[in-house]
Amino acid sequence: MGGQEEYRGLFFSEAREYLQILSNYALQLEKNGDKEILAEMFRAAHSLKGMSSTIGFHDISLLTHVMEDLLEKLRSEELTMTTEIADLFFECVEHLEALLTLTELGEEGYVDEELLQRLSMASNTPEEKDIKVHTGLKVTLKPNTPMKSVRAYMILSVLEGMGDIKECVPPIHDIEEERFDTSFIVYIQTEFDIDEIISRLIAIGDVENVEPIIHEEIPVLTTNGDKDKKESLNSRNGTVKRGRHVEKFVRVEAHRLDKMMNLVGELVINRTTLIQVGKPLASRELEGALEELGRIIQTLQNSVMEMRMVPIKQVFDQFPRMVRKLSNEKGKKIELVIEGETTELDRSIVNQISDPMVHLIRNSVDHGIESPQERRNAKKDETGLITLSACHEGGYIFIRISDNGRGMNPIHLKEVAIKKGVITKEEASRLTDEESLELVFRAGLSTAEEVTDISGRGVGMDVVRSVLEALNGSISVKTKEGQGTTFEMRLPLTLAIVEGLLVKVDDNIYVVPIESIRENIVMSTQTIKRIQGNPVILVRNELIPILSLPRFFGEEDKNFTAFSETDSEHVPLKEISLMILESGSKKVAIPVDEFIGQQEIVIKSLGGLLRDIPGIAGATILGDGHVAPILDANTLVHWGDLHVQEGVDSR
Amino acid sequence: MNTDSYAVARLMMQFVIFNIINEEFAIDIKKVKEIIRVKKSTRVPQAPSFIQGVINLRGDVIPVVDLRKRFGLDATEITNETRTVIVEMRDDLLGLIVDAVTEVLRIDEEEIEPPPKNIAGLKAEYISGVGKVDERLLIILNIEKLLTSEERLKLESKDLGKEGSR
Repeated sequence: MGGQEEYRGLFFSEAREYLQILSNYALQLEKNGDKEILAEMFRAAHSLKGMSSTIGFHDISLLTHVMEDLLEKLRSEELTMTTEIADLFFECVEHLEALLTLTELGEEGYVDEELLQRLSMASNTPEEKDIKVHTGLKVTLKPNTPMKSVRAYMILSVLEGMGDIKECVPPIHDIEEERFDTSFIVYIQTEFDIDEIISRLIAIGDVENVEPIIHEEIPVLTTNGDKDKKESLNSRNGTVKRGRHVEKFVRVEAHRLDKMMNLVGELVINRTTLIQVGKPLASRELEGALEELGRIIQTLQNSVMEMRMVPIKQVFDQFPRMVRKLSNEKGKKIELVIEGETTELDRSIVNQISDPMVHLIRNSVDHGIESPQERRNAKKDETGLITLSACHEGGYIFIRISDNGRGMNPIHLKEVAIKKGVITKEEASRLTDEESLELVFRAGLSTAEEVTDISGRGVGMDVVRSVLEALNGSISVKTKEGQGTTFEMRLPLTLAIVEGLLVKVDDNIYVVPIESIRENIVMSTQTIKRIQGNPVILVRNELIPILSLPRFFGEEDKNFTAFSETDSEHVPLKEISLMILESGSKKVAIPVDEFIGQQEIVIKSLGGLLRDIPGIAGATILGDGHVAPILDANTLVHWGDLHVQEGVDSR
Repeated sequence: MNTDSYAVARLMMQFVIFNIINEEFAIDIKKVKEIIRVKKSTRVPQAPSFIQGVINLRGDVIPVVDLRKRFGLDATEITNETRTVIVEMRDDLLGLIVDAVTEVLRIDEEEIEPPPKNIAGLKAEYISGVGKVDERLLIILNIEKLLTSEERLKLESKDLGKEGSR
């Protein structure tokens, strides 16, 4: 049962990859009907067909089969590429996607008969030439060829690129496992000229000669019997394709990598313990060994982290199709440019940024880019441009989505926000242009006058921001009216390990993700002001509420009581260290007794009993093996904001 | 509990036995992951008061409950005998600090009685049963109920007075 389950999982993840290939190339195909592209698509459809029929998803197999036929005809130039065919292909891809999703959910999905019909109509050409000859090739390798299986594999790959391998003697898996002497026979159905094939095969090293054997039919195997023949036919789709991946890639369940990451974290901690235990011994040898151990652990950690990294391409790949579809629907002309799609980031992040990005791109298509008419009037190129880019910069990943559309007007934003009751007129009058732009991230605000099918559903910008913050990332916006808007997302390289600052408050050690810290300052208690009894400080003309951590946690804080007395005469004069946390445009200052230092921390959950403690995001294990809680900046900042807001409003 | 037929054999269940004051408690051994010495824990703000803190168990952060505090007594004084019993509850691990772990016992299922209304001050809902071995009464705890309920408890042991005056 478990094996079957695992195979299903594997099937869906591989099927989606092939689907992605189909969809990507379909786009390119529209622009130029390149043979290589057709071959790639054909292979993808072919593999998908094989896989789905093996696992028993017949409707998927049926649809891919018809697609394969159509592709075959395009490849052999019996048909020429038209917009109709391209559209048909997109429809197929979408339909396949839906089928896959349904099947994955365990529901029954049926292939659209009408679509099938249209597909076969499209692939019907007047002069249907049906007779194809299976060409037999006897490939002989030079005697004493090293690593025969590799040569054989290369030969099979070349042949596969040129046609459809129908049969091998001995069976394909035997060839791959070197169970042949010096020669084997491949029967192939191909459009290529036989001499062309032979010359290509000869070009592969260590091939002694290739002899053609012309056959009208696949021969019946005498030595291995029917059973093997069937098996080799079945394995044709699987083994050859799979074989190519197995050499380079191994699929591993994500949680196994997580487990490895945990174990690496454990090693780090244990080494620290060893160092401490070994100190009294003052042994040079021990120190050396520990240093070496440290280097190995570091390398191990990097390798495990690398393993968890996947290219952002996985997310980006869905957008060309999406933009194409949306712009058609909206009657806009849009070109999507993608940069830096090979940028890698942690897979757990990749999984979560897809939705926010979909939303941002929809916004760009919907609100950002103007209609062709409007653009002409504004003396802009009729075709709008959306640029999607990703890059690494100083320990972070930046993803930018920019459009050269109409941009946003801060004043207009404010008006909408007031109209929608998001802010009051008084609040609006205090906002700078920059702060007004931040309004787009507030709940209940949509700049489009009408709610459209595109942007009016799914996540809002407020959700986009909270998703990013949950990932220890952030989002900002820049815009110029009439020239366009850029959203910039900043994300950590990995979720499991973040840079943290260790601070001591009241004898307790807390860890704060560096990402949430704006700055650390030392101030005299004299500079503390009060609004409605709530202490605040003024940093560069900005009022920041002060929040006592013990108080937030419902405990007593004598220090704080002393300097938050309303009567400033009684506040003892001294310097206090404040850590300023930031979330969105809001800040809070937290008095800290001591800054201990900065280090990489592994984020751990606190488990069921302690899951929902406000202000605590989790815990980490420090170098000495002790546990330290990680502060949740978002909650703390929000609390501070509420308090100072109350004060300001009731003043 | 009696899902299996008696025809097979008499069902014996295994329990880890531990003490709090001089009361003997039992936990189904299937729920016990391991027994460790008491580790220094980190306090978690705003956690329920009987949760002493969290410890690092080979890279997992797990909460530790002082059972004495859960039973409305003063915090456990750590001695050479004090142990943390690591148990599994709904896929989470957690530690229980107990005065001492004494033994692992097989108890005939027939010797396990349904919980009385009140034993040692504990209501029936916190107890899965009472095991009788010779003259001893072993209170089999319902850990899940014990740790998810907010109710204040008060353990009443016959030896409590003695303990207090020590």
